[in-house]
Amino acid sequence: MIDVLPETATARILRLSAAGWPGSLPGQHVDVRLTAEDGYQAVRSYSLGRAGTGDTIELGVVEVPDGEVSPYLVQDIASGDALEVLGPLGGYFVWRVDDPSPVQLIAGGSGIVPLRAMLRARLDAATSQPFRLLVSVKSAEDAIYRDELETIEPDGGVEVTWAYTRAAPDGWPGRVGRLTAETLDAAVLPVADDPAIFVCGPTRFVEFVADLLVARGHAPGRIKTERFGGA
Amino acid sequence: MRAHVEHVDGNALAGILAELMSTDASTLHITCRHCGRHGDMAEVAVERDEAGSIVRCKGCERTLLVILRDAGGGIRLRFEGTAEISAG
Repeated sequence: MIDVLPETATARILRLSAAGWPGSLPGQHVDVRLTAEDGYQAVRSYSLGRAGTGDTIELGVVEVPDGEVSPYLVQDIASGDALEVLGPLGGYFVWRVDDPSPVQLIAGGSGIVPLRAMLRARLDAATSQPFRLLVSVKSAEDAIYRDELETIEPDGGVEVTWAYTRAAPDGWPGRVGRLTAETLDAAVLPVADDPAIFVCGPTRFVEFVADLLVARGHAPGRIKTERFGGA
Repeated sequence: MRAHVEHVDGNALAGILAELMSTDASTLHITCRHCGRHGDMAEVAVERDEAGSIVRCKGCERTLLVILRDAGGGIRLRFEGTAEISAG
């Protein structure tokens, strides 16, 4: 563990030094295994917030109340501690920089983490695919990577739209509440563009969004999803 | 029609099964024996705890696979309602 960065009241960005790390693709994750003194083991999957080569990996972790793993990673772990990490994992929920398709990213809460890796890869590669990101969060204070996402200039072909489910920042012109079909329609690239779509978030959020996208005419095979429980 | 059938043994499976099993599992495709639903492994429903994972069909909710981690560190894969797993 190199760095532990508090990101919101309940989330942290963990930076780890992983010797021999082979590098990862945007969207991949790792399994983190914790072993208690009595030998009890718990494994959880965490998305990598940044793709690419190098020995440093970055995880975004949100504390799940009563969780077995996340409270330790958010509250207790400190610089210098070691973690058992297996990865990089997953070849499905992955964006490839040489895919020329326009890309629509849709995040619910901490589902932003793998999508941020995709967005960063697109910005770093300075390629020309149009990218749109819709982020649904409870409030601005709950938004991981918010400071970074707010500095993205829309003229670079990358557009970020926010949706707030509990509380919006002062002066927010839009509505506040659960993500609606209208908000999705306004934020998502049209069916005619045939975008590659990545949806990540709690299971119910992902099912709601994916069903709506299919109902709008997006091909199911173009919608890739990653769910992290909370069903 | 096959021109030639080789009669060999399981050692001959090492190559083709290594090819299948070294494929990233989330990119495999799986078919349910009960309802016939065919889809991406990444899209099935999984219930995971410290003992292992139960993999369920999103069409009929029946169990496709059970993956268990033994106390000794071994891993067991049980084919319950899986008709087929394919790669590529």
